[in-house]
Amino acid sequence: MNTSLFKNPEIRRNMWLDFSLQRIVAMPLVIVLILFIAYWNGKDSSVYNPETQSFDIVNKGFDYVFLGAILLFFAIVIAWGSKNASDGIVEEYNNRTWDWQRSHNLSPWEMTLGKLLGTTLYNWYGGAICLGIMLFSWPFLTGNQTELVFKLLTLIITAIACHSLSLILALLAIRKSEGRGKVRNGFYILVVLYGFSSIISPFITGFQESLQSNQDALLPQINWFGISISLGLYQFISICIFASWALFALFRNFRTEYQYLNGSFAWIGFLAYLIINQVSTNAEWSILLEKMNFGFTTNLFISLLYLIYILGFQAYGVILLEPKNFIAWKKFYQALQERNWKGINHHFPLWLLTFLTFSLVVLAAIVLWMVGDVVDIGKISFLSSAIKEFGFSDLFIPGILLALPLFMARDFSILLYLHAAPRHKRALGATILYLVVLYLILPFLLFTVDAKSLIFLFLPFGSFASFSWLSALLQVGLILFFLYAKFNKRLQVKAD
Amino acid sequence: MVKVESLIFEYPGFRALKNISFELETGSVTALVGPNGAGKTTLLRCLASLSEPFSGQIHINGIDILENPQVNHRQTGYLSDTFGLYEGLTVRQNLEFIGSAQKIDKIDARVNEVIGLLSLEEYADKDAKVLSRGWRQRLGVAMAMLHQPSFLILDEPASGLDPEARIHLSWLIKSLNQQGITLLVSSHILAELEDYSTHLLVMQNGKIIDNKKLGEKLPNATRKLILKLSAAFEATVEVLFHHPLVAGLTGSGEEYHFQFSGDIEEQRKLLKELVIRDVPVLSLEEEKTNLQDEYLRTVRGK
Repeated sequence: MNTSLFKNPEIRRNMWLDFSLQRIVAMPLVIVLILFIAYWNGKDSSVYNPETQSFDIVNKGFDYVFLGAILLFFAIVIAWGSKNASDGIVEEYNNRTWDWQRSHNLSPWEMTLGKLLGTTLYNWYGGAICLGIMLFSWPFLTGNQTELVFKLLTLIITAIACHSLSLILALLAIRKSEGRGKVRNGFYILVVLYGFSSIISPFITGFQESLQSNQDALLPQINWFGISISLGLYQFISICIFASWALFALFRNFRTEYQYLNGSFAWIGFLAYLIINQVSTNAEWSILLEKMNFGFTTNLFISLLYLIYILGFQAYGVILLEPKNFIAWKKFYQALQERNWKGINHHFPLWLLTFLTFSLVVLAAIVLWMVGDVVDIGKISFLSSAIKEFGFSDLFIPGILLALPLFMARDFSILLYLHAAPRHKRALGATILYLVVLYLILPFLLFTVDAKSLIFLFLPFGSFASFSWLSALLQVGLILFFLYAKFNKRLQVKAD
Repeated sequence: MVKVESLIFEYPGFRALKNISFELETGSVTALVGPNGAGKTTLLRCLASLSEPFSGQIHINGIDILENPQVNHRQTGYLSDTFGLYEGLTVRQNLEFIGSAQKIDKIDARVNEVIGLLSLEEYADKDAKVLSRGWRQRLGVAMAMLHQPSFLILDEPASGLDPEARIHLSWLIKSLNQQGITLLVSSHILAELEDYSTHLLVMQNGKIIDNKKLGEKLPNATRKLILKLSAAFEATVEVLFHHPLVAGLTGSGEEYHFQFSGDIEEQRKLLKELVIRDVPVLSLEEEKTNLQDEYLRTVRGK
């Protein structure tokens, strides 16, 4: 960090607020005490020796210190830091200082760096102590820790990605509130932590395994664009790219706060990256597919299925998180009417882009299935159990695939219909209720009254699952009709 | 200085600004008045590049602020009605933070200058959270003007202030105006606005219903006069009713209001005639209208 970074007003302000003498002393004191306990517990460890068939007493104190430091880094920097990052924005909004922030003369990049490091400065102070202790204990580790640098760097980059995502979600929460009362951010922090704990857990598990086995955890090689690469390096590169996207997204969100208009090309770029990344490589899939040896077409088809899952999850996430302000819709509609391409680009809803991409990928998977040389679906272990119950036909997979974007369109139409009401504070809750009824209660009711064959009306499930798309299409048509009517009614805002 | 054209702002369900257009002169202090919900704060936030209008154009100092919001942030200062201070920071730290965020050169010197101007010396090293509303308002104004904007927007700055703080605010606004800053001040307290405003901008139901210069008197223009008598006198109506320069006569008994289209000399002659006719005149003077009267007349008349 150079001196100009410390001149960043956001970083300076947080230094004033967070670095009292008491807090400066408390952080290292607590960390050292906890790690001392870890050392004490590990210094006389019993390790089974297969040669002598007995337990040897080995000093694994520094291994425990190292593991403890990783866990503390996760707790202090990633978990607590994500909370502080989110609080940093939400508290500004709730305390009515956010307008000052939005009137700053800082560039969006300066603001991005300022908020990213400023709100988490105290956490990074603790994180730096943890990293220092990890590096100190490195030479004393009993296990063979290859790629340790990658692991530590991955931890740091993961923390940056987590903080960026936390800040983005906080900014979205503020925008979604539309000035109505105070914003609560607890849910968003949980989303970030849940998402990233899955990235971090392999490191911790891997390290624990290496502690137990006294050797480095298995580091499988994966195939990345024909290059054989270790899983550790692949994860590091992946998280670096993801963190870059998260930082870029944060920058664009601060641009929005500064009243600049953003285009939708960046989101298209992100989706394209997701497609390339997921289709070409996915660590777990890559290993699995190589073992199965299905061939290129089937591998591509399975990768597309995985991509459908990722994009589907993302589309639901985006539509839930993105502000669904009717005025934004109206601007988009007006731009469409005027064929104002700049306006269309600025106001194109990101969930709609994701939905369209999702539908294209589904279409690609259907085409590949129909014309490509995909192996018998029944041989693919993770699909076979589902297939066996219903019997396999050539139309089964395309039918189900086709139903996916249609059911998604139905769900999104319900959400938009409820959000199109002038008072839509409880629209999200109402949507979730409708979806629970449609996806759970009604199918379960049909199941209970022994009318399983009708479940396809609400889910691509049962013997008529391949016709689910017809039911979904009818539902979409019906809801879109009502949505269109409501939209038109809302467009008629009286000028007087 | 400020040119607003066909500005429309919509909230979900209603239109807050309805195709409004107006201009503000450089060096003016414009009072923005209107009932609650008229769209004043929405308009101010659009001018401060804090809210994006649905359509329309805003130019400040010739700059299209919808295209260049950050350029506008450099030339415009905005103080919201809630002030929004960093409670955990001292007064000086609040100002230093805003100063560095605004990339002001020689921050310390400028901070000291503003602290002096706002008489904040006594509280400079105290946390913002301990300040009373009057001092919080002063700090808010200090933060909004720290980067020496050419256009300063104050949203309800006098709300909740005690009389002494209001007098200081009035002095401060006049002082800032003398330094060449153009101000737009919204308030419900019309008596204060009158003290320092040069222009009046009246909003109602999302529209600008009046935009005029205050205290403007045209020579030989019709003036409203008020005649007060020590006792009711029957011949008064007859004199006034038949006078060629008098119109719109209202009132009765001891007080009459009318429009008089003559100059001061003609007014003297009218007074002389009334006295000659033994009308017990107590006074004959121009009827002073204050901002409140102007505002109420505008709002009720539209």
